[in-house]
Amino acid sequence: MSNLSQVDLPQLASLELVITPPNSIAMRGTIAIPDPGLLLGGCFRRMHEAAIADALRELSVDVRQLTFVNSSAIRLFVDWSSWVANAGGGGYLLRFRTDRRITWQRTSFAVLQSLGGKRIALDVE
Amino acid sequence: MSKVDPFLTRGTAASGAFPAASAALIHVTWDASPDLEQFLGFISAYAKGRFSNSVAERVTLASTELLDNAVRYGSLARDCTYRLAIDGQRVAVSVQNTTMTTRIEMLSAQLKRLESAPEQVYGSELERSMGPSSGRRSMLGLARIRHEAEMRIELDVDGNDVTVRAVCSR
Amino acid sequence: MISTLPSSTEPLIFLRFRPAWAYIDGVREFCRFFCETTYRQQDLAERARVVLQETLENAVKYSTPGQLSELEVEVHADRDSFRISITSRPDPLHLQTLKNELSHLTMLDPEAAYLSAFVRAANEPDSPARLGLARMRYEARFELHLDERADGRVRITATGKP
Repeated sequence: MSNLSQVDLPQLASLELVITPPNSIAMRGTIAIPDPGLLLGGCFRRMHEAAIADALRELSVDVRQLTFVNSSAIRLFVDWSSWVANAGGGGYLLRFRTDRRITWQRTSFAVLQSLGGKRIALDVE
Repeated sequence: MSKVDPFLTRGTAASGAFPAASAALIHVTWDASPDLEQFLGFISAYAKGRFSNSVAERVTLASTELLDNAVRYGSLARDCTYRLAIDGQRVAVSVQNTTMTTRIEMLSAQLKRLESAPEQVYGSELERSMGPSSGRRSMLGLARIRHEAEMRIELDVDGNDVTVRAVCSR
Repeated sequence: MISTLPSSTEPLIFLRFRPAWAYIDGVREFCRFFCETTYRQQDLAERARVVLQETLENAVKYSTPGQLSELEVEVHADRDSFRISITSRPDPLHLQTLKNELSHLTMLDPEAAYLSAFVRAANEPDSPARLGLARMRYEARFELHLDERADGRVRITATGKP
C-alpha cells in the first residue's frame, strides 16, 4: 500500500479531500476557515512527504471543484510549491488541474507556476 | 431614566447615512424582486446571533411577512428597502416601497381594523386564508406580526412611498 | 446589466455586527448573492466575494475587544463604481502594519504586487501570509483606500468598476 494512500485526512465541513492512488488528489468545496494552516498545513506536508517516499515522478492535485478559498489557503499552495521546488533530486512534478472559469485559480496558479519553475505544471480546463 | 446604551450612542453618531434616532443594523435596498429565501435565511441567522431567541423569532417573522407583502403589492417602482434597527429599547423591522394610493388607503384601513381587535382579526384572516381566494394574504401577514409576534405595526406614508414598520421591545 | 438605481449617499447594503468569525460566511455569501441578483453579473459577484472575505477576515482578526468594536459593512454602487467599505476598530499595532502594507502595495501594479507577495510568502514560511490585500487588487481588481476616523475607527474602502 502506498504511503500516499495512508495519509490521514482532516475532516472539514466545507472541504472534501480524496486521494486516489498512486498519485492523484482531489479537493472539493471551499476553504475559508480561520488559519487553515493549522488543519490543512500538516496534511499537505504529509502528502508531499508521502509522494517523495513513494518515489512518485508526478503528483496530480485536482482543484477544479475547489470553488472558493481565502488567501490563507492560497498560502498553503505557495508552501507546497516551495517544498517541491526545494526537494532536489528526490522530488516530483506537482501538477495542478484547474478550472479557467474560477478566478482565484486562474490568477493564483499562474503566479505559482512562474515561481515554481519546472517542478510545477498547470492544466487549465 | 434608563441608562444610555453606549453602543447605541456610538452607533447613531457613526452611521452618518441614517437618522440619528435609531441605530441601523441591517439596511438593504434592492431594485428587483428579491429572492426572499436567501435573504430571510441571512436575517434569521443574524438575528439569532444578535438577539435573544424570542426577539430573533419575532424579527424573522416580521421580516418574512413585510417583505412578502412588499414584493406582492409594491407596484409603482421596483425599489424595496429593508431595515432592521435598534431604537432605544425597541427593535424595529421596516420595509419601504412604492405603491398605488388605493393600496395605501386599503393598508391604512386594514391596520386600523387590526389594531382595534388583533386576536379577532387574526382568527378571521387565518380562516379566510384557507379559502380559495389569495387576495387577503396581505392581511394575514400583518395579523401574524401583530398577534403571533406581538409587535406593533406603524405606517409612514410620503406620497406613494410607504413604510410599514413592526416594533417590539428587545 | 448595471443597476439603474440613482446615485445616492445611502448605501445599497449596510450591516453592523460583532467582529466574530461566525458572521463572515453569512455576510460574504449574502452580499455575493445580492450582487448576483441585482446586477446579473457573475464576475462582479465573485470579485465582491473575494473583497468581503479578505477585508472581513482582517477586521475580525485585528479588532480590539469590547462593546464598541462592532464592524460596519457598506456597499455603494453607481454606474461607474462599486464600493465596499468595512469600518472597524483595529488595534493600533495592526493599524500601522496595515498602513505600511498598503503604502508598499500601491507602489507596484496589481500583478507585480501579487507576485511580490507570493515571493515573500515563499521566502518566509513561518510568517503570516499577507496575501489578502494584494489579492484584492489583482484577482478582484479593486483598489484600496484607508481612512482614519475621529472616533478611532478605521474604514477600508475597496473600489472597483462594475
